[in-house]
Amino acid sequence: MKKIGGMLLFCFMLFMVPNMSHASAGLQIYLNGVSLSPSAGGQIIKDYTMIPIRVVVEELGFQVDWDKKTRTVTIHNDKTSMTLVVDQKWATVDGKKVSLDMPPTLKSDTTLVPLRFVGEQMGLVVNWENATKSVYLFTSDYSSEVTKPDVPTTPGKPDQGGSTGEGSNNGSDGTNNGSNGSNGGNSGNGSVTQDLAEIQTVTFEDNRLVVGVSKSDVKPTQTKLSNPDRIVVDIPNAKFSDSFFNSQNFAANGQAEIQLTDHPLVSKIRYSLFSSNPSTVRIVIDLNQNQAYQFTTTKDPNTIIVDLNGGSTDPGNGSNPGTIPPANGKYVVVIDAGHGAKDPGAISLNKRNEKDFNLAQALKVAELFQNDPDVQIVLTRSDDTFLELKERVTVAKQANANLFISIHANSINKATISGTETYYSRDDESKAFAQVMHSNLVQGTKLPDRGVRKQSLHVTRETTMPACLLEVGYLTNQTDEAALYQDDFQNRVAQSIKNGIKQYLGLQP
Amino acid sequence: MRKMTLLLGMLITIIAIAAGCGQKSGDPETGGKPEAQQHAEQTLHIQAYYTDDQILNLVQEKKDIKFADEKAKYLEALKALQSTDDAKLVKLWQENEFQSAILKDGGALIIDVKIPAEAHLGASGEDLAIQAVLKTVFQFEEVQSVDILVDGQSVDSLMGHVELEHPYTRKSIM
Ligand SMILES: [Zn+2]
Repeated sequence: MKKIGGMLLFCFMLFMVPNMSHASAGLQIYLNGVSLSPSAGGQIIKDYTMIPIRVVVEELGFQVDWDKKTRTVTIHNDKTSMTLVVDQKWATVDGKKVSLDMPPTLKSDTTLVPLRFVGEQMGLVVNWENATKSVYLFTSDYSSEVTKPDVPTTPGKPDQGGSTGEGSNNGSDGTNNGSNGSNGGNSGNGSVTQDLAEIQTVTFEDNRLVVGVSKSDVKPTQTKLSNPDRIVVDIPNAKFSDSFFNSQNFAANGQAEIQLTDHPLVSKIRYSLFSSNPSTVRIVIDLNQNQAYQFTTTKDPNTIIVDLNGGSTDPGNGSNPGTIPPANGKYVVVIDAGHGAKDPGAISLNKRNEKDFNLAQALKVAELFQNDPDVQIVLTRSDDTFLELKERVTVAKQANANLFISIHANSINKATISGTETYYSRDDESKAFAQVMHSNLVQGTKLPDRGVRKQSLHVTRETTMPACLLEVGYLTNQTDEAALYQDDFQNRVAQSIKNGIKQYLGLQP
Repeated sequence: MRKMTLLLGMLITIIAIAAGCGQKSGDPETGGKPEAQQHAEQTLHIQAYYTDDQILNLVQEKKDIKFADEKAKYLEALKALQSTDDAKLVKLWQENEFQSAILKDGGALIIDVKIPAEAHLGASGEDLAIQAVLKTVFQFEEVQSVDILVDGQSVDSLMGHVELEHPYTRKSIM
């Protein structure tokens, strides 16, 4: 059973599959690739994953003693024993005092303990994947088994009977749903070799990853992950060209690397044929820190580019070499999609998340400026990740931005309130900028004009360039909400934002 | 920095009325010295804060709060923000939960709230919601600082637009 889907689990250990299905929006915990029951009741408190002690016993299999009087938890297996006390910021592990970032806490009669601390002290490997809010735990014997650079063997008999094939597909469901799509009717094993794009080159120079591809119609996806920070690019329906494959040092595990010693931003770049159905090439950039970047594709030559020159998102480190502003003579405009990941923003009447609207709208604005001769867009986030307010400000500062626009959708506890508002915080050029943006925005939204307002909001106050925050419409109003998630509406709003930017900068529309 | 000042709110003398036989009147301006009858129910007039449908300013409304234990009055005052009879006012805290409000030594009030995602407000709503809390509890003269925690944790922001100060002082609302 453990070995079923070994290849997939193996890849998964190397790369941390980004497209985990997360039907339940909550926290997912996996032990050796198997999901713990949803009733495990893990929760995130201030960025720490906390689990009830019951789960430590039932799911992780450690011995637990709970002393109600002293509120002391003792967790042990045959190797290690630790004692934690509710709200006490240190624990005792095998007789030694160890400080705790997050002490155990009592929540409605359930004692929650910090999963990473307990797991790691008890010898588990603990990985957190922010994009999917998932925790992956591996027992030491398991993880050494999968990380060994041996080619994993196919389970059981050499002949891949129907049921075995089924089994490995099921095994992949729990861990990998990244290969959805062009799967129709295919038996699963025979991969179609014609029509695959060939990866011909992978280079990294001047803080840019450039991937040369044989065809222009590739549809790569990219995900930014943290702990450790990395950018994952998947190129479906692609394979390595023979000449490239032979020129590279692919290890027995199917992976090749570019090692970068002493590079300020990147430690290494890894690539492999990640999935055979559909044939997918995965490239991972292992970052030294959280790093803003731009993802583009070009035609003729056909390339996929990850440009890390967009600025560092590491706060308070302005002088590091990763923060070179683009020196191509363009205006830099930061578009900040509000909220993200663990912060959904407001919830709409029909239970849709504000963060999703914000991101879709921000991406549409960025798209409109692609190939713009005068303006370069820098996104604070281009996927469902979380940034603290101050990190958004840092992106703008380090990108040397000329303008800053934060995109939000509004929410209030009164369904009749409807319309578009624009906020600024500083009585400098921000006010005029907000007025220009707002007059354009209301033409795009066609919702009631609720005016330009001044309010002390972190991102518009702490940035140093003209800045405004757009509350495009009310998620709590029926008419507004229906509009906000429509493609047409978002396209119109994106165009109006572009018009506003161009007008303020005195550029030809 | 802030449009509204608390001056008015601070100067308002909150008159305690005895709501019945055997009840003690308390005065928040004196810190309400507990006496023998401290478990008798008291009623206080306070100002509670809401917003109008422009969501631009705080609007105050007189409310009565009742409590038996002096220590409970901060939480009761905050809970007053969750309801109003005036249909023109917009409640900023209706769906959020005040879990506790405990006054520590030195006048530090620790407020623990629960903010369900469904109750997240937009940028101005969030700012006003925080101001409403501060103005409400700074009516009590003994409160010198206010720390707002979410589920016991000190977080950067309640709803992702406004950063929280840990703690707020009376200066924060001027
Ligand atoms: Zn928002």
